[in-house]
Amino acid sequence: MAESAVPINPAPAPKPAVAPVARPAVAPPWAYDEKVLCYPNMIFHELVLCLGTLVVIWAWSIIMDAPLEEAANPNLTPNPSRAPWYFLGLQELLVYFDPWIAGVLLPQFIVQGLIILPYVDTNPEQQGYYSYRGRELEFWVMSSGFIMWFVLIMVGSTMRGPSWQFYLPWESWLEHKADASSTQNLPFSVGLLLFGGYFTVGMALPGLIFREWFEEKGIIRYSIIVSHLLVMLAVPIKMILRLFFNVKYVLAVSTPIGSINF
Amino acid sequence: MAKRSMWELWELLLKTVQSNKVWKTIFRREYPQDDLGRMRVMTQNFWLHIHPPKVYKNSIKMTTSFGLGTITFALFLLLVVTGILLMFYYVPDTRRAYQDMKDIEFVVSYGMLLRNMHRWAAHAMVLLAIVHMMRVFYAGAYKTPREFNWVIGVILLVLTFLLSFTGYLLPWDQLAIWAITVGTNMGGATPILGNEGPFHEILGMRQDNDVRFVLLGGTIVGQSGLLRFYVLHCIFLPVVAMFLISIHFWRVRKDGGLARPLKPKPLPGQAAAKPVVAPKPPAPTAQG
Repeated sequence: MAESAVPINPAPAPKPAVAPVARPAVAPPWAYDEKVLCYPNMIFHELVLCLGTLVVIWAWSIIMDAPLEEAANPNLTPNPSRAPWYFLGLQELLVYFDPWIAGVLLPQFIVQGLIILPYVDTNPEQQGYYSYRGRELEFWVMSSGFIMWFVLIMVGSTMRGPSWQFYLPWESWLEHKADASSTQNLPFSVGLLLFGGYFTVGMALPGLIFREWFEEKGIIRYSIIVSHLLVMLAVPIKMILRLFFNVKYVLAVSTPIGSINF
Repeated sequence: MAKRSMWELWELLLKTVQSNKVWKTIFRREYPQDDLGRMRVMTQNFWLHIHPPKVYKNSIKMTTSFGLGTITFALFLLLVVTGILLMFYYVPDTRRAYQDMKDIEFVVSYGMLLRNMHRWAAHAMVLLAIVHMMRVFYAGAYKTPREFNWVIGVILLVLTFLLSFTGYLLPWDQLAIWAITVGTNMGGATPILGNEGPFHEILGMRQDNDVRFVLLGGTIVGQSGLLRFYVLHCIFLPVVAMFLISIHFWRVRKDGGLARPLKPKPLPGQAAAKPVVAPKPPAPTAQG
């Protein structure tokens, strides 16, 4: 029936063939400045993505029900109590740090560090495509941050049992695990030396070794970068000290207005 | 009456509807038939004019963005729609919130589906926002001139966490109340401002006057906390998020669209290049 039909949207007449424009032998196969009409090209992509999202969420909801446990009971604390999965990394850090570090200071450093990233990484090159060479430092800092975040979430969601003790996923929670090791603070003088030394030497050393990099960044950007890196690096260091050397606090300070422990 | 094909009837119907005066008051222009019309769609349609009429071919390549931002926004819209529907059935009262959840699951038509979609879309949005940020980082798309849009993105990521976190309490089950207890206890550890944080003695912080108390409206997760989280979840945070999302999108356009290399890739010899695919001349069209 369609043979006799005149289409309502006739295809535009084919344009006369033009000789291919000579272009440099580069990838991708279109010219650097080539543009396409947003409608329908991009709008179509967006429509497909939105519909796809809807279908996936709908199918997921058909297959799996959202959890709903017993009614809230302030007198019955489940053991363990877990935060939502995206905060489990922070909850996992509570094993190694006091709550004000795990729950306040480190999240602040993460958000702060993300915000300052474009202001300290001022090299305009290597944008708009996936690259590694020439931005190795940024690549490894961010990647190790992402890895640490997701590893901690995995540990917190699958390997923690009653009293937040470490249980492998196949181990029974009925098996009692006491805090076998008793942790101890480092002596104050040793702690002060390690803590102070870590941050003073840590601030100075990279600048002395990578002189050119220091001069390129300038003192302000350099200080911001290195201080954030030191805090970030301190997290796995403290975790190792706790796990393998039973160190509770590297530095415990008592002052007349209260105590503060690192 | 002459016999007409189905196609002709369809055409006739379309023409009749589209030449109708009422139709023309709603749709100011006809469906675009040529490139000029397609460009006009972009500049003159309220919903589409946030996009430019033309985009770089690079921008619609799948691996440029993997559509992650679009998917995150699609999830946000889905959450707004399902969230509004859920609000018809849910009252943030500790005496009945849990019962409302049960009603949504067992009494409301398609209630279970509605709740599932809201819950899973929320998890997906948190994950997608993180992955979107990772993509932007690895593509170096935060670099000048897009620094500030990256900052807005980071704030939107934090807002996404907060939206999900405040919604986590609303079902008022054991999972909800204890997850929020764990989370808000961290707030109580804020230095100086929290009753368990270092130096809390300076301002005389106690359980009933510190920053955690402000967040919960009480010393435990109770009625005031539920109401606060409900209002934050349903009104305050979505409005702020919507506002920032608008700026985020606007800046994508104003900063020159999706990030792309500053200059064409180097010539062969300097780097490995793929073979050229010369543009094909238009294929001869079959004439009927």
